[in-house]
Amino acid sequence: MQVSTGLARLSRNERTQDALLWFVALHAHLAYSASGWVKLTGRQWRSGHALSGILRTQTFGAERIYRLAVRHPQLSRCTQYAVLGLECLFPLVSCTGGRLTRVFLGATTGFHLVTGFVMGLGRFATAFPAMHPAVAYTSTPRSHRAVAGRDDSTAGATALLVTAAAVGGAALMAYRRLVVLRGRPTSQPVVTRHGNTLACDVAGKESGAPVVVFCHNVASTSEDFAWVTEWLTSLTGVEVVTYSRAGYSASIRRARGPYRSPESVDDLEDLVRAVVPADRGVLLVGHALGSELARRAASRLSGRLRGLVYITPAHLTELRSSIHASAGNSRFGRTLSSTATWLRLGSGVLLSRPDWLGSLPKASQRSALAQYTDARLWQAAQREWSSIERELTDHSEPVEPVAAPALVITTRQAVDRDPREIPYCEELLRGHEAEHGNNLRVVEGPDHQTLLVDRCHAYEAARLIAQFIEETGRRGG
Amino acid sequence: MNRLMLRGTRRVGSDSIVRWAAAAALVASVFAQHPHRSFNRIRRRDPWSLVPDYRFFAPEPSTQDFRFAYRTVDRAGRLGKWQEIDTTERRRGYHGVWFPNRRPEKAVFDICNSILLTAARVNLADIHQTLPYQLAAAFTLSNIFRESGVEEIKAFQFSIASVAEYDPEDVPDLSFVSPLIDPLSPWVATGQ
Repeated sequence: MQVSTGLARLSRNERTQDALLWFVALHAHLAYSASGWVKLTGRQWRSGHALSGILRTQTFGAERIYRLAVRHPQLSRCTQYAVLGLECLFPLVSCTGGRLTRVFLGATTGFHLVTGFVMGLGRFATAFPAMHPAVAYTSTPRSHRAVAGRDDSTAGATALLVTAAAVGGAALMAYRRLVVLRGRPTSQPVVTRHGNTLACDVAGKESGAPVVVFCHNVASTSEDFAWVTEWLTSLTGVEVVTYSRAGYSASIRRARGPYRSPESVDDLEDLVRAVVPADRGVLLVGHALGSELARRAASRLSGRLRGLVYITPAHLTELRSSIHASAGNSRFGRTLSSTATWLRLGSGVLLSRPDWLGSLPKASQRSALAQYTDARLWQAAQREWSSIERELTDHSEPVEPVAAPALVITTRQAVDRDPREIPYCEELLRGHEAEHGNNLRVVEGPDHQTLLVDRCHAYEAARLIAQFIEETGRRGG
Repeated sequence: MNRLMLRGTRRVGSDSIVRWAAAAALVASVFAQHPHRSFNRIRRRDPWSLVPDYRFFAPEPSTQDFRFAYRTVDRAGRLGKWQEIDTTERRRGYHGVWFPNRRPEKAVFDICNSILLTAARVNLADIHQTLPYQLAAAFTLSNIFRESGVEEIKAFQFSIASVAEYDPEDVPDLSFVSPLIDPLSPWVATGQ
């Protein structure tokens, strides 16, 4: 702001001066309205508890004022909503031809003085009112002689650029949706009993080894397995199948009625029966919650199942207790829900590219980014997570024993973070036939995501899977 | 002919450049105010923080203070008591116009917040490599140096507790405890 007003003072060109004053005034509009509207998206602000919550802290509060807020909660709420109204409605200064300028500038100055003394934010009391003269200048009707000849084209230029950026962003997101729905050129569709069309990819050569079928995590993509499948197909020659569950990537959910996770288990069973020849064995590999779906599908494929690999499996017991504690309103569920909402509203172009995405093979990055910034992935994840929350809350399903050996791959980070990680993995292994040998492997270094997307760690995971295939093949005769 | 062409060509004046530059900067500022912190593509491309952040206390305000404390291990291996470093001041009337301690107070608040956010996503064995942790270690070390000197100290550690100071019903929560840190090489993992 100082730079803008300083340049305006130095410039001899009145149009340049007006452009710079408009810049300051529009920033003032943005500062108040953004602050207000963003607050409205927060639960504490909507419920009226935010102000008393801030006042109870020593950092931004004041003890006497906090006690007053506790004694008079209605007064506290009214003050909070008045501040919200003042901030959200600030653009009325310009929309009403300057009639409300004095009211808003007076009220906001008072607000800054109060927050300066109560919250210790004295800097706000000078910084924000310093923008007010520019607001008063630009909101005065052009018919007024004090602003005769004022150049207002900066406001138009800004509106034009905001619109252009919004349209450009929408076009990019539409293109990304096309990329998502088109899927990979090598994908083949499989229609399941629920009418869902799953996009699946088969790679590798036919051999005597079991076909390895990968099941991805919730809010994840089948591209996560790119390094693992590359290693397996190129170095061991086994045949691998990756697919996207209904609603993810190019897979379409056509099932009627509310989603329940057995639908995904049915889909996985149908996919295996459709893609893997009847005389071939199957090895299921699941990542995190994907491994739980694979475990449930295992009992249906018992005749053909050669083994099950859990990669950083989800702790159902822990999930159940955290879901109970959050009363079905878990942090993860809220993140999925809010991300899906903002993506549906078209702000996908603003979603930052996750760091791990750059670790994937170049060929998979574009598709993974398109899926990650598209609402479909998050909506599907939200649907799946809600179902998991409901199922874990409603009943405790006994873990059925699986008549096939298992391998659990977890990470040192998970073990260090949670002392229950090893006991949980061992409990999973106890649910499997032990005569062919069950394994627990801990990979040093990565977290549950980088274990798959980082090439070195993914190759290590692939090597463990290949070793498991070999061992089970040998023991099974 | 030439005169006609010159007449038809509009010169791009300094005011035009300023106007469109201002409009572009405003557009970046508008789209950087997204309520969801993951939608921060513009901020990640703004290493000098030129784009202002107007999301004060939003969308969810912080409703807790941080208590920052440390303890030391002497050469004989004896563990000292936790000592709190009090950085926050109770509100005074003059804070509205004169509050120089606000800067260090806010810095410690932000560092504590960053450490808790970082600890949630980084392996604890690697946390010594992160900037907030290194700042907190250096801050603790400077306090130890001021209070008692570092000659007799073999190691130290710091902790962060969350509590709402003015709410008598709020129970302090120990949110983070660092591993033991060697004062001679505070940014190297000790593995303890």
